[in-house]
Amino acid sequence: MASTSTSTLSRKLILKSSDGEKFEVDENVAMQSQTIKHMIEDLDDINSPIPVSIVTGTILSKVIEYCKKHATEDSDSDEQLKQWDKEYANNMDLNTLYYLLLAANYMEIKGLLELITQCVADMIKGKSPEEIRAHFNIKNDFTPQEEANIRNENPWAFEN
Amino acid sequence: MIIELVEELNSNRTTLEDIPSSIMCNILSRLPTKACLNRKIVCKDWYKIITGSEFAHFRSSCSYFFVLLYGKLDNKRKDFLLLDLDRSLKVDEMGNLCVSDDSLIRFKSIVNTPHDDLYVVNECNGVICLKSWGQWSPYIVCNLLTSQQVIVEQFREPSCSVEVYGLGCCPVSNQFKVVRILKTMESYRCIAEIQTLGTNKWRTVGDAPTFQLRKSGAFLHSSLHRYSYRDNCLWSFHFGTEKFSLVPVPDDMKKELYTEVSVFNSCLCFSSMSENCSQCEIWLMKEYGVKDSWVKQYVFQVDSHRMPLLQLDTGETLVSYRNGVRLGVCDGESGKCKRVQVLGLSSYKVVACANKFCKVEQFDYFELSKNGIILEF
Repeated sequence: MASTSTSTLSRKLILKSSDGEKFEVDENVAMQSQTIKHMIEDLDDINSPIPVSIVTGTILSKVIEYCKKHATEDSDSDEQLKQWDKEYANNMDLNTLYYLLLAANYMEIKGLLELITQCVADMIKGKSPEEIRAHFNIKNDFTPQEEANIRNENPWAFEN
Repeated sequence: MIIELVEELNSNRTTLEDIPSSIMCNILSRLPTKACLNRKIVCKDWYKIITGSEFAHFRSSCSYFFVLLYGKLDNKRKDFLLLDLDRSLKVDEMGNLCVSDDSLIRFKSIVNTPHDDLYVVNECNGVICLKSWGQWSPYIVCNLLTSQQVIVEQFREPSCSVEVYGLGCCPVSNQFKVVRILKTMESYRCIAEIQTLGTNKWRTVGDAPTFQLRKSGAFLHSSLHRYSYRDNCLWSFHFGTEKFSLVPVPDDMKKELYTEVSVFNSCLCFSSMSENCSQCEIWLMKEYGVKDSWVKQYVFQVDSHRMPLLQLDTGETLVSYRNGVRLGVCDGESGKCKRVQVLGLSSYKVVACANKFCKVEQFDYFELSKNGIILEF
């Protein structure tokens, strides 16, 4: 394991996306990802690019945007940070959200994973099962009988 | 596997169905109770996730809580009501809790026994134990969310009285058990008996401590906890070892008649009213079983006992008082408390507060009662 040094703040790392795009970031930005943190510990040469194998450049740049915001401890209050998170998530289309979910999960960035899961949960919260299927393109694979049985498990959950 | 998944996603067939089920589990566990159960119908995958054991685990670590009430909604008949809350709860200027329509769930129940006779003994892992007032009346163990229930008959013992009782769960077998303490009329000896649900048999487990007052009990760490006023101590009964033991208490714990044990912020908690009825102290044992970890969390300036239910994001605490017929929020810093109301809820009594769904399989070996009291939800 690498010893922790006080000069970590100034070090730069290079992250390489699945499609070969390279990003230079401060170590404390990249270290928000537990996966990368563990990779660095095993790395001999800190100057060689760190592969983030399943994340494309487009998504990685968005992930880095999030990590940069959350790495700086300056002026922003909790309230401002929350607002920033909200706008960040709201600006993503559904496809991007899916990729971000997978990226945050793979890179183990707890805050980002929480933000996006909550964002998708909020979308689900305000919709009926029919609307959910339409919005998220999910096929109803229950037979009418099976559906009726499930409704009977706790009918009150299906009343308005 | 993940690589394949991403390739599939890249081929422009992205849907929510492509998200791994552990992430979906995380997402769905963030929904309020009613919405969770309602979304089972979306597709088979979601059904499997919501009814699975991993889901119960996720739920217990999220910020949702429910408060079980027994009362009237919009002047309809009295029923059990489930108020779904989370820590971000706000109170408006009029003193109303800001909750959505979906947050207040009314259970439609058909009960042979007059509802008014029933009260909640305690709650354990999302399952509640109900009883009517007669000392030999049966215990009704039920999961309000799934409508599963079991009747535990008492079988009257001659020359004995039933003193205290409660529901618990064995940490090893995950079996639910009911414990009761009988007092013999001749020797005034207290004996504990236990029944594992589904066996229909009471077993003697040995001598038990005396409790003069029927106080509420709190289930935590596989044990049921109660306050003994006579000895000014906290007793616990462990449902795995089936033994009583004393919980260490702070040295300066005052002997107060109005002392209640509960679970607050996942910690064992006691709240006690000062003798002159001017303040209520809330104590928490931050690390279970460690005497030095007791802290006096709050002192509320109030003239009657407050039971803490839920810590809110605002730093305030949701409490119940007057034996549960009022809800309030107390500010830990100023010690001030104010009454809050829930729109449409005309009268109620708080019966339990919990943050868990019971894992469904824990109920699988129950023989569901066909006779007696049927609660239908």
